Amino acid sequence: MQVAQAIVLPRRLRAGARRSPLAAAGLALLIVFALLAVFAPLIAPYNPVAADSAAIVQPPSAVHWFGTDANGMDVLSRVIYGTIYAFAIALPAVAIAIGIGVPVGLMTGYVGGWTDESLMRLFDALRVFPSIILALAVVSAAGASVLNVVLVLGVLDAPVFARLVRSEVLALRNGSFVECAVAAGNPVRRVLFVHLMPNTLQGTFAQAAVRASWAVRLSTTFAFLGLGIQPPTPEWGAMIRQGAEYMVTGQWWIGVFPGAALILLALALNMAGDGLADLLDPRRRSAG
Amino acid sequence: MTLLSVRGLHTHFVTRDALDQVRTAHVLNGVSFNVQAGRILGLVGESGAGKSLTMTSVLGLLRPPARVVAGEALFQGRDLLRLSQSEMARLRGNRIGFVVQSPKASLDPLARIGEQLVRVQRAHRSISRRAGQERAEAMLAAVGIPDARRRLRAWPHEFSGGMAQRAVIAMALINEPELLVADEPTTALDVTVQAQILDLLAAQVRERGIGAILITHDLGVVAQYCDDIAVMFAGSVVEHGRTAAVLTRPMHPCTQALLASTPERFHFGTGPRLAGPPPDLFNLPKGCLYRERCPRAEAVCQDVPPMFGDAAQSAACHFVTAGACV
Amino acid sequence: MIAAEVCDLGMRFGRPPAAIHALDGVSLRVHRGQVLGLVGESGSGKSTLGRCLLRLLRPTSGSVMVDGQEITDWPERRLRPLRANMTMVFQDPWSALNPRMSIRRLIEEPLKLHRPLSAPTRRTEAERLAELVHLSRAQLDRTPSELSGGQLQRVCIARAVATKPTLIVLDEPTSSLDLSVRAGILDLLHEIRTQTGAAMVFITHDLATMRLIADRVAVLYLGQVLEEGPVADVMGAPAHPYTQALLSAHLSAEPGVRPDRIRLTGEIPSPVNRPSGCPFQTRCPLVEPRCRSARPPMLDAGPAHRAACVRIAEAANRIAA
Repeated sequence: MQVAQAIVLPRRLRAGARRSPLAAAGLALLIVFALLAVFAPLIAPYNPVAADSAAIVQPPSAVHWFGTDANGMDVLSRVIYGTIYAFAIALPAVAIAIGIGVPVGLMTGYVGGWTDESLMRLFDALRVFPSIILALAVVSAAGASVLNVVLVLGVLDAPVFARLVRSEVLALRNGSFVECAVAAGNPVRRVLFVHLMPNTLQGTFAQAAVRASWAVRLSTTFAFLGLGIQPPTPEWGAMIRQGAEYMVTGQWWIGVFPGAALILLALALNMAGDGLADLLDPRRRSAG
Repeated sequence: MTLLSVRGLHTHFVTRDALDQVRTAHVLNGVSFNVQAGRILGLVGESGAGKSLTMTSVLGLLRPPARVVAGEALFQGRDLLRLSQSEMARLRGNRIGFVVQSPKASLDPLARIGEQLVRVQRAHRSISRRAGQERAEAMLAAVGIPDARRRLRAWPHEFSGGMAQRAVIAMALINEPELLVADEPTTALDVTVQAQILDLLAAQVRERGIGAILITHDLGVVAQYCDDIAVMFAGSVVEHGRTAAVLTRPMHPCTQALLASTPERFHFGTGPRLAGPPPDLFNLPKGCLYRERCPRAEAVCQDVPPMFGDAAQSAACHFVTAGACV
Repeated sequence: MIAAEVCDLGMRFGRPPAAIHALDGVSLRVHRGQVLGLVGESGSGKSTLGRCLLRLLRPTSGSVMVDGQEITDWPERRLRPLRANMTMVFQDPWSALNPRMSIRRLIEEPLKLHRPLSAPTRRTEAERLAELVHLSRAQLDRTPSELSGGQLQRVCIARAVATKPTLIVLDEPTSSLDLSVRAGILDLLHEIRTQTGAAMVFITHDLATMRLIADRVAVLYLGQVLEEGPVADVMGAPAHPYTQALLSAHLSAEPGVRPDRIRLTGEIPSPVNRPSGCPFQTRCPLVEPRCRSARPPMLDAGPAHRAACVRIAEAANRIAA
């Protein structure tokens, strides 16, 4: 039984890949980035924080494929190591957003009434607030660190998941297996987590990948603005910031390469997210 | 006079399954029946038998991945299955009226009833708005909607289920078609309203001398309103003939099983023997399609059974002899 | 032995002036081992009544008694253990089952919630229940999307009888199923009824099915009970004009058998603006001024057979064909 399932899964992946080449490409790209992050010390040609004052702002060459930056550090190595930071920020941030948003969405969607109204208005207020200002406030109060950036991003994104899960709950709440579960005598906790949650997660997966790409972009924005991570840490946002100054004078490589990496990762996350949600739907198992 | 003659209609539905293999569902397997002017044909069968699909195939309303692969449907000397989309569009709503199950689905929620009736007319002939409105008013009155002039300006959501269905019937008949197709027109309505709507349909058919096809799963509707009946199973017609004959002396085991399931004839203890597994349209058995459920199946059923009988009653079964039932 | 009873039950949704009175002064009882049929068209309140009986809804007036306990105002927490005793089978089997759970898990769930059994015992019990409803072992490991409508409804029935309830409410359990499948489910229900001795409340709009399975029947219209009695009496000699019209609207599958139809005009009025007095007055062929002034009381029309029509007293309640 288990063996049969193991054989079937790769076939299903291939079938899924054929159905949506875009999702397959996204997933493949994500895997490449993940490998880069995991094996960075083995792949990167240079130490990313080794400053070489003799080789400042060198254009791309055979020695430095992506050139060097203002401190003489190899851009390629910094882009590769930057992958670690991208994942290290995006993944926990999304995990926190889901960890807060999903239970809240489940509860408010199910209970309704004043709890629902007040929490949703609170979340609306959070969404309307410009995230940059909020991040500035938090970071200036608590200090600039990876942890703080992750927390801010997580909390800022929680309302998205809450709203998503809430709308699924509202759709499922009446006249369906939920009513049946209540009639069978399930306590509220079981109705929410055993019955409702697995059926609302599909949308969550697709959204998670999209929010992860947002998290990456937001964190690079923070770094770009001088919040959060500071140079010489090889983080793409910080690198783009430095590179922006040099764009005017024609030294494009310092900013363009990390920028391209950012775009590619965000794209990969978006594309893969859609495909993943599709693949996980048990209803497709018996289709056709 | 035969209005519509469908012969050997085959429709396939091509999909890819979870393992991305191409699978073909044979949803219609040689459907044949006739519709006569002034008579109502009841098309019955369980869900999945292909009743609605037959009419969508004939009326050119199929969407890929479903398509007609064989057969002919002769209407007014032309084969509907060979006509182009635009030619079919000229026939639909004009020479052939269509009434569906849910009136909410046919009525545009953003247009007044009178406007919709005028639209249907102007789609098929040049007629002034005022003349269109007058004919619309007459039609609404003819289908039993009181205060028709005022109702022209009503919105669909202001109508109750029964009234909305009357309005839909008005739309189907306003261009004076020769053939009316009604797909489960009363299933969504209350029992006491159902009879009113069916009475209306029957009266209009008789008055205008047109032919009608009534698709339903309710044998009571067929027994009381349809002159002829065609029983479908797994995409083919297994029995066809005058309603009185077929329902009192059914020839085909499928018809017999259907009748035995009606509450009037049902006895406790016979239930499990009536329903079998639903036919797998991707893997139909060779020969008789009813084989796997039939209490009488024998070796000869591996061959496709011929349609035995005459115009009054015929069934596709090896064991049918003239006038006798299984 | 009374399994369940409602007294003067009322259920109002929303607030005046746009309030909907789904139920108005309904009093019924059902005994152990008996099947009470609730019949009515749209807006009759039959589904609402079923839900009130199981306290899935909290009635706005009147009382609900199950197994001798008055549960009208109990909070959900207190009701939960009682839910082992009163179960429901819903109309649409496709949406009543969690699409992500296996059939085995779905059948084991009521057992898990209400009976302290060890996991292996639960497993065997689930298998026994599957056999009871004529499902195969292989089907236990499937998910709802892989089963047909009839099979899914059997799963729902297995869930409903798992905890050996005293009351089972079935809300149109066969309406969305094919004719031949329907027959199989009715057979199953008949078996279960004789084996378990539970009280059943069978809600439907189909009179013919009612005649097969019910012992007593109550006819509902716009939230009120218009007639109640043994099924043979109510179907054979209907006292209320509405019941007579309902019966005559039923289409028999015997061609040529055409009872003279009582043709009702108009449709069921909206439940928001109910007429005062008899709810049937807008369509009744026998309507009189006194039907509009006050709500007709329930009058005797035979042994254990009552109907709410003022004309019963003068034996003038039959609609001439």
